[in-house]
Amino acid sequence: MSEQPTHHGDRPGSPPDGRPDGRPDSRAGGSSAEQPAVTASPSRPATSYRTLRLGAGPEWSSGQLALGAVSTGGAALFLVALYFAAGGFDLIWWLLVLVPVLTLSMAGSGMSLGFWALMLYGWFLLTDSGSFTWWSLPAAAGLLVSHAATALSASMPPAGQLASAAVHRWGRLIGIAFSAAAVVCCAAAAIHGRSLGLGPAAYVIGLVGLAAGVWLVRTNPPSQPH
Amino acid sequence: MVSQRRRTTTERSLGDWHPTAAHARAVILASVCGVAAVLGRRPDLLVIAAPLAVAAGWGHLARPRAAVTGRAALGDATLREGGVTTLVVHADPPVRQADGVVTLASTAWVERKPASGIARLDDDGVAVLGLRSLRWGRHRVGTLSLTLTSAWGAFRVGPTDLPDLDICALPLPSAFDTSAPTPHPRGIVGQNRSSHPGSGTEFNTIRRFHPGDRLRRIHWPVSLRTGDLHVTSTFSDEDAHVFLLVDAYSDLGPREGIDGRPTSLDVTVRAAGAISEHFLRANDRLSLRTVGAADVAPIGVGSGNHHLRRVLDTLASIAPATERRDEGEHAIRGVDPMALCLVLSPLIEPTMVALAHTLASRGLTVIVVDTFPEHLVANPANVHESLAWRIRLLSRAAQVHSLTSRGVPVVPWRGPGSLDHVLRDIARRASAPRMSRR
Repeated sequence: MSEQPTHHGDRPGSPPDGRPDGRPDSRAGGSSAEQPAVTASPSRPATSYRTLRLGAGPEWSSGQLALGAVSTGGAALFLVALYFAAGGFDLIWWLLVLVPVLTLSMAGSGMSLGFWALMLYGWFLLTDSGSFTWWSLPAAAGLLVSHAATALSASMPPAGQLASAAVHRWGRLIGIAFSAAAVVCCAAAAIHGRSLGLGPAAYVIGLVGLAAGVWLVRTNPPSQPH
Repeated sequence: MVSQRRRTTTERSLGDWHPTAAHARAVILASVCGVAAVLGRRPDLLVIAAPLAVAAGWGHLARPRAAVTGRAALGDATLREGGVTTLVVHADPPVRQADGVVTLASTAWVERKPASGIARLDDDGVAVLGLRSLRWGRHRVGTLSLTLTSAWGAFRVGPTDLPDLDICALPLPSAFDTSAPTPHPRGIVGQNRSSHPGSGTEFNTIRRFHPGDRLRRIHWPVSLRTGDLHVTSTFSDEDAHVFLLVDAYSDLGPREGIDGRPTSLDVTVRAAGAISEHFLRANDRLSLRTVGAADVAPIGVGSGNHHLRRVLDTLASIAPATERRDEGEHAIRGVDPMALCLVLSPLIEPTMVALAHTLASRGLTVIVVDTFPEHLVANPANVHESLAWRIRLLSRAAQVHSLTSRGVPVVPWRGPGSLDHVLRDIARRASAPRMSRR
């Protein structure tokens, strides 16, 4: 594992200034202002960022590593919520928190789907049927944050840097989506323990509506990342 | 070939939008959790699935439907080695709330900025990368690929590789200047003093006024003293023809680019560029021939900035040792007998020594510029290689001696003033008394 400092002005549009003044070196002494097709470059302050190479793998940018950490944090938050919602579970389950960071290079694959299917199955098994817990709200936050971090990580190469505008945009998306969980949570808390008088027909209608929703968003199989 | 077209702009359709694994994850998990919540009477699962359902629905509704075309253009396709330019990438039409990533593959002699070669498209669908040429020559910019991902990372188009772009890095001329006159001037527009009186700047004598003399040439002190009008006469300024013969048989030494130590061909090409620039700016005429490189067109006699551009472009197109069968006979055919012949070579290839002998035997004024890089014989990192080069230089010394004994000066390339001494010697030799047959 090696950490490689890379010193460059990585602002888009700033040309690579090999010299402090952005001009070719002193060997250009014989050339004058009438040189054909000499490209001038404005000088810009150089910034630096670090990349991390894990073994023989690709270089990982700090932004990608941060996304991996966020995804891991989401899984940890989900497990904490599950721990308190279920009243405790076997310690071996805590090892699942390592899965997002170990599968960082497979963010664009179906690995994350399998991981979260397992986590949700665990929630389904460990929590009591018919119960409601406010711990489902942080669990939803953990799942959402991890999902978004994985999706954003898959949208750029391992060495790609995160733009602050993209971070703010994804933050707004996450906030809006999480508000839906809060609304549903409040509604579930409000109706919990009460009989709404719903018959089997209501369940059928609900499931048909859900199936129709899935049918509407049906698409081709997901593309494989290159 | 000099006339080879270089691609400076490129475009390609990125193809269709495809759902990503993230979208499939959101749809499947939200659906399964919804069904499980309803059937299993688990409202907490419904809470957990609600954000994913929002993400899946949002990602689907915000799915871009327009076909996107990726375009890329170089700011300057021709630059000096060490020079910088920009590569501007557009996604047309720009996609709102999409993450666009441009990846430029690494390639030889082109430095990318950012160093990773990765840039993000801004809100207008534009990304700019910096490029720096590290060595003279024609280089292909690395493969450029473009990827767009829609909101929530739900749909993606690309990565699609755009057709490659080319840049031409002209050799960065070494510093060169000479104050010595060029031998055998015979044109009418140059800056070299001829032996003929005429309109110029170099003082000749003060003589009596003749009809047709310019009034501003009248020398009033002498005129007042003698009582007759006298004028200042000058020598005419004339241009000379410089013939460059470039050795491209070999490229000795490690290629380290503009920031490292030069190879023999680096020295040769940069020296040729510097000499061309100097003489062409002095309004002299210049022609260029190359030996040992395939597909390099000879440059005929010309002058001016446009001709300088042609010369530099030709030098940039040299690929060393691509024509080993070239004996150089075509290169020295039809050379102007009054031309100053400059042979730029590290003198490792015997053919170049033979060509210099041939030119000298024709009575041409020949100067051999030795472009052998000195660091090859003083490389502390590889003493054995340095020793081998020193032995090779010992054997080369006999060939150099044969040239000097014939009257062909061999001068190492030192930049400014490299040719001053020999050019003055040649000028003195031309004005010296000589034996002639009557």
